[in-house]
Amino acid sequence: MNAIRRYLVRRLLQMVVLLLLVTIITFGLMLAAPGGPERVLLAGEDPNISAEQIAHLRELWGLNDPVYVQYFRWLNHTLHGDLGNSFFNQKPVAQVILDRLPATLELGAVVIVLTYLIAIPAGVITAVKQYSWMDYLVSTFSLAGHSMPSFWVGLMLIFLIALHSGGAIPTNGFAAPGVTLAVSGLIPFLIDRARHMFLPALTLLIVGLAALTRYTRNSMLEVLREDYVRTARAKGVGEKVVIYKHAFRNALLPVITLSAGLLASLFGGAVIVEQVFSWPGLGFISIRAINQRDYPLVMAFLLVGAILSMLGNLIVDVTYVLVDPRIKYS
Amino acid sequence: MASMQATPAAGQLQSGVSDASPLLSVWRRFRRSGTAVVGLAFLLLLVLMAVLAPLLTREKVDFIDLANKNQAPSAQHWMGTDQYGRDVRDRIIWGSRTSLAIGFTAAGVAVLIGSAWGAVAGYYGGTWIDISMMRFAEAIDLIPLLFLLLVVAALVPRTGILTEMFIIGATSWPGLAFLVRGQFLSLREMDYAQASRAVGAKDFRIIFRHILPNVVAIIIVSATLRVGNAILADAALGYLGYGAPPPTPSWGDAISVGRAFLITAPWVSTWPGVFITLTVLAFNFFGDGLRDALDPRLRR
Repeated sequence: MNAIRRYLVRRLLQMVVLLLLVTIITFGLMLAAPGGPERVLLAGEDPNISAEQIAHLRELWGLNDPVYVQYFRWLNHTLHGDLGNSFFNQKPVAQVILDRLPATLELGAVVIVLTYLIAIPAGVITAVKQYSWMDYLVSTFSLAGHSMPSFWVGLMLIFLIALHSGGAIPTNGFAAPGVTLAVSGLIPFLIDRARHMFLPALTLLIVGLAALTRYTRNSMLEVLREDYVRTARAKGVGEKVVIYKHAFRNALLPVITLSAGLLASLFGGAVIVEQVFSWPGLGFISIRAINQRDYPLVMAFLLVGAILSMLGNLIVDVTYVLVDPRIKYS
Repeated sequence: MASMQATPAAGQLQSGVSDASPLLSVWRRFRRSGTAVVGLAFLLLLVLMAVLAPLLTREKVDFIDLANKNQAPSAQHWMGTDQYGRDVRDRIIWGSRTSLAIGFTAAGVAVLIGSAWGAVAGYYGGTWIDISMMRFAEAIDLIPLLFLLLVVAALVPRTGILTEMFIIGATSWPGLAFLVRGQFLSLREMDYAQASRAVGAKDFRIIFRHILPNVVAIIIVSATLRVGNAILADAALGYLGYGAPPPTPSWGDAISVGRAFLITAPWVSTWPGVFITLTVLAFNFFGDGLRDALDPRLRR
């Protein structure tokens, strides 16, 4: 147990270092913005502002200080939760993010759960029935899904399903106006939310199932060739037990490693899907923020994205530690 | 590889194939996968189409004919026209040039940066050089790719095809760095590297003359798959308006043009996406086949 604890502590320290590196990269990108920070900060102001006023504001905002001083000042603010103010939303950045985070998390959670529920059984079954028509079908479709641009899938789904559904499946948005839990009751509320989430979730599923299915299948195939599986069969253990008790559990281990990327790729993939469906989450707002050159907001999104990825990695590491007794931590 | 004649010994199967050259055996293994061959064939046709674009299309790239806007597919316009009256099929043919060029070059940039980075880090594995280099790569890797792409693209004053190539390449190299470093770490310990060192060869020489050729196979496979990803990234950038500016034809831009007319003219957005899918699929098939052919141990 002590070795595990030490390993996890080391991982956490590594993550702190990584986060610091990400903040440096982020800050560097911000400094690279054309026109310099003062142009950026003055974006919403009077364009006829005089040179003296600009110089004054530079002094006021500490933009004449050396780069590392500016960086530490920004870092200090960030660590205290003050991420600056979003220019165009006229609100603190942190608040903008908190406002929009639930929508993205909802979509992400649903997609992740569905992905696991579908991809793992599919991977196991196609591995067990290798070379069958089902295997080729699933493999081809999942590879095809992986090759499609997500925004195009979204558009095609809008065309094929939403536009022919007579309004049953909406093309965008999060919920119909006025339909809340208090007003409409639980079932209509859930139905309304499900209707709106249907296409974005389907889009993300089509594109995302491929990786996990293929990985599960490959992992399962390898495990099925292992000696202990052959031994179990030779002992006369029933085939189903062999598959589900012996092979499956061991096949899951590499699948867990892949899961690390799932959380991060969900955030990245959701960016463009949210755009297509006007799903009011982080991704949607981040594109708008980039278009508007709303730098404080954009930098915060970079950080949030990196943190989510890191959380994914950490969860995977912890799970791996708990699940595989063979791993040694020197 | 020395030539071997498979002489049947008692109880031994005759292979019937003599290992004449490594390249030939790779090709033979590659040929066994139907999907890989189909992928390669499609890609060759695609490249042919891109090269012969001026001969295959009727109009030049920025031809606008508003009288013909949003026409359904017909004998004259096989895939219909878009809102500017441009023939969709022509746009796709011209767009294939852009997409293939960006895909190959971006993948190339990523491979160059990633391999060099991973090679150096892997060779000096365990030292602070290695640790700091890989932490930096990991930090870049943590940021979701599309988002990083958009931010960098927004920072560049004017995006064009060249900047796009570089941006995509410069944001996707960490994965390859990890791969190459891993290879270097394991190969570094092998005998010939140590023998080289014993003879007194300089570090630089050891890296590039002795170790690198062995990781080439991995790099080639990764590069192939990366071209597909680069094409997808280019499509996403083009769709969002951060790709090459109009009138440069690009598949991503073509899809976005059709977005407003999805009900009335669905063919505008549909066809470019079909071609993107087929192209990326072809690269994936080809890459998988290549991986299986280059190292049978990797086959699953």
